[in-house]
Amino acid sequence: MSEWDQQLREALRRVEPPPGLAERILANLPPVPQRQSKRHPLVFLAMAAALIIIFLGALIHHRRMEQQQQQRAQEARRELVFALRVTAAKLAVVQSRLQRSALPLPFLRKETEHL
Amino acid sequence: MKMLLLAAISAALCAQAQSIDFSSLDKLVDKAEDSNTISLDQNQLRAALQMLPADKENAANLQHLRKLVSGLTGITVRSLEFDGPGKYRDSDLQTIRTQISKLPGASKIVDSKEKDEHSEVYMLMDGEKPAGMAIISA
Repeated sequence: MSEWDQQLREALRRVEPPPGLAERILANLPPVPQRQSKRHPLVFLAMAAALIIIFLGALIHHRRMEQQQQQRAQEARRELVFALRVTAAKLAVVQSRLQRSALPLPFLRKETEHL
Repeated sequence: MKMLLLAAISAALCAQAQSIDFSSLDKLVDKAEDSNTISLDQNQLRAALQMLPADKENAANLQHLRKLVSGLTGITVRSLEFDGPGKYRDSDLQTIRTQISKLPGASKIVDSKEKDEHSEVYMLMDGEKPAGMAIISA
């Protein structure tokens, strides 16, 4: 082992702290300030009120959307009924015309009577 | 006197049938006493079906109607009503007739003329299955 190694080992050897060092350090530390909320209680109240308003707003919006959907469905129902009535009426006209036009052909009517 | 055009289309041919251009009738709207335009797609038809009342007396009819309509993918009605004859010409409908007859699988099954009224029924086929119907009554 070289002299240099010997000096290094000597310099880095473990030295025990003097007794009571930890207690003295802790005793000299400044007291930790207690964490206090800087927010005013009204802020929490306002936040709660805002949440309630948002919830109610969403609820009202949802109800309105439902009503609109129902109105659209009602409108679609009216249109469907109208469309089917008009179709049925026109098909009835066509059918009656076809039946009338078949009248001058009694032989054909007899032939098709059993169908 | 009433002029009506109606297309009730189901399944495969819906897209083509709903693309029928009715703009040739727009010029007649001002002359018409009553004008109705209805265009219901499949979603609207479903919504309409849900709104049908649950009537116990007509339960069978309603069930039949539901079955009929649930098979449709669209209904288009263009209806114009005039207070008297001579407010439109037969040629006003020609472009619509041409469009319908050019739809794939379309064939005219009824062509009935009587006095001032002319009715036509077109059947739209998707292979061997009926895919829709178009009625022109003028």
